[in-house]
Amino acid sequence: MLVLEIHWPYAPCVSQPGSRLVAARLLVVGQLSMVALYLAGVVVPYLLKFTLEGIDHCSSTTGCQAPGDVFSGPMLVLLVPAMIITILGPMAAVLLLLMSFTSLARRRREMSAVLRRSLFGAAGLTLAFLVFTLLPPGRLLLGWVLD
Amino acid sequence: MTKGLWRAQLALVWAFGLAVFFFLFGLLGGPHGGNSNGVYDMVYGPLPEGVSVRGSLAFPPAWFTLLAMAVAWLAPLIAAFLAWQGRRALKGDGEQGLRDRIQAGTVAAFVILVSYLTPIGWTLVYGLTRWTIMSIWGEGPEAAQLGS
Repeated sequence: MLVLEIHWPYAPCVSQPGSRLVAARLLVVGQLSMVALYLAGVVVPYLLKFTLEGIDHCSSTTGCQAPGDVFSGPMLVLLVPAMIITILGPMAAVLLLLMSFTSLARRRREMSAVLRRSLFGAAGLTLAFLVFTLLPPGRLLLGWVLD
Repeated sequence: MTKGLWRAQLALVWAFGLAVFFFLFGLLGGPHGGNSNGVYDMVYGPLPEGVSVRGSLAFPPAWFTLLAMAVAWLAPLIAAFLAWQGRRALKGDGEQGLRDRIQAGTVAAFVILVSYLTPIGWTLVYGLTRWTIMSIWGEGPEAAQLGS
């Protein structure tokens, strides 16, 4: 009688800690990408174009300049997702923070020290981003993007 | 130490978080008060001169802000109860995994409770209550005439 032995790397219905932690890693990547895009696509361009020149995006001579009036070409590729993050980011940040809490509460002992620190760090950055968007500089950037 | 306590703490954290989500939705997306760009003015300030908002129960966000308002009002009471229950449960023995979860849930319940001792909690309650009333009954001198 022919007996086929198939050695599965693990039981098919039981996920390993490593595979379960993929979601936690994705969460860290998502949060860091969101903050990085916001900084690179909205905060830094505004600082370089207006704040360092000592002006606002609205002036009596030029009127209000929208991001599309100031930047063009490849910069728009960075600017468009950053604009979406500026508008919807604060609400998305709340959901990401809730997911971070759930992940850390349930699985922090299964995580490596690096992943645990990354999750805490990314959650801290997301919280800082959320607070910044509600402060006057963040509100100014939202006003610029909505122009 | 039971799973029920952890589930209740997790439900509180998510409900409170979603209330904050709908607060931000009302703040950034809906009509708001004041003429400045400041959050304080947008929550507490009157509508700009000549602006009225029509209220309607058929307006779906009214239902979401109503639910979020109920959560915002009840959250400090439930958080106090769950923080106290969590502290009591952590004094006893239990499975390590469940202990970790209840520890995190208890810290979160304390944080929610403490936020009501700061302007954060009260602004959340005031904002959600105001936007619920505004969404259902309208606000401003012309509110009753709008849409008729």
